[in-house]
Amino acid sequence: MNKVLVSILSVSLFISLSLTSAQARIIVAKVKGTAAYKTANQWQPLNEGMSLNEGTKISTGVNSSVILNIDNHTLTVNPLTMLKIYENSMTRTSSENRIGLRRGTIRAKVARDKRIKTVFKVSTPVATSSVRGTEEIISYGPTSGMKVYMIEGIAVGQSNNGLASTLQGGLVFQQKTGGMLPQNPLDPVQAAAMARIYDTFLTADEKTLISLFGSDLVNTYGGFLDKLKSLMDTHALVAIYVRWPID
Amino acid sequence: MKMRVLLVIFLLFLVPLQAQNVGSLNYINELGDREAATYGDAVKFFMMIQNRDQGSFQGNLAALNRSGITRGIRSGETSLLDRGTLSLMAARYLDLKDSLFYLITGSGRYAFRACIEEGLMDSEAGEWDVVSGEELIETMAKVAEKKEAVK
Repeated sequence: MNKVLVSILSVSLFISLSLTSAQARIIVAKVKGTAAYKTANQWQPLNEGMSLNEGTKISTGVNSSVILNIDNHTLTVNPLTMLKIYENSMTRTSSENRIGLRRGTIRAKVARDKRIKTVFKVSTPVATSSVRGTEEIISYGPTSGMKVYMIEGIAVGQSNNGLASTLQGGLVFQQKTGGMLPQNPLDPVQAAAMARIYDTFLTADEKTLISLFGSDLVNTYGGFLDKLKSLMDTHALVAIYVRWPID
Repeated sequence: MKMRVLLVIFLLFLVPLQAQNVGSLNYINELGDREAATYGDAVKFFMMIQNRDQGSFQGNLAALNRSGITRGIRSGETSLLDRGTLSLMAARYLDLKDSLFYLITGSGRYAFRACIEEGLMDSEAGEWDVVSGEELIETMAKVAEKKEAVK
């Protein structure tokens, strides 16, 4: 009888511990300066150690910041930021968090665990960023639109019209307010790329053109390299130097 | 008994302190809902990012005049804020020196160009465009970040 009782108690304890460890939670780890949260109609001061619920809005003042521990992830809320935690759910096999960023800047460090399916999305009025086990800085404002800076790992930036870009290695996603398309994240890489054309296989005219404009060219859309390409009848040997990841 | 009275007095002191903190956030969040910011908002914000907000427009303006940020700007507290004026205040606060034309003329027009170069302003807008509440908050966040980076 005692053995049965001990077994039942052990199983109950194990189940309760498992459930506890998989509970969703939002804990205020650090508050610097002025910060507040809102669940109903009134803003209340935000203090360290507080536990917040899904649906809470958070706002920071000038020279102020907040660090939140959301499940196993860390979210740093920079000065003059307002956000809402739309979803915070966690089970033993999945973790789902959705943040709405109305203005300002946040830094998300998302923990990666292969056993847990992790969804960590940050939405702004113009686009959504989906972090896949990584670290990124996300900002939104009416002038700059939404910007996603990759620090580590991979994320996907998707504008509201459905166009998505995969980001890694220092690439930046930017979708401006009212803009039709997000900026091509590879633009800075292309702008810094160098192309060298060797004169093997070139015609006399093409060689003259290169001697006039030089063979080390910055490759921009519609630039000299594109014009030369349209003129060429033959293939040429071209070396393109790309610096990536971006520092 | 004495301890209880002291505790109550201590707590009474804490309540207005917290209310004051949230009060500044209420102002920022209310500003974010406004379609147009005023010169008074810009003056208050420049004092806030320096942790020197004195509460009154005249007090804040006098302090900013002394530091040269609002020197020569003839706007009233409720005047709508344009990008040129905000740029001029930002350029002076950050002591921008990279733009030759701004250094020569010191005008809002070239301060605006200098602020575009610094990534503080949007190149698609004009210097006479009125700044919205959200835009003022966004710009001031960038200004404060840039100032912090210079330190």
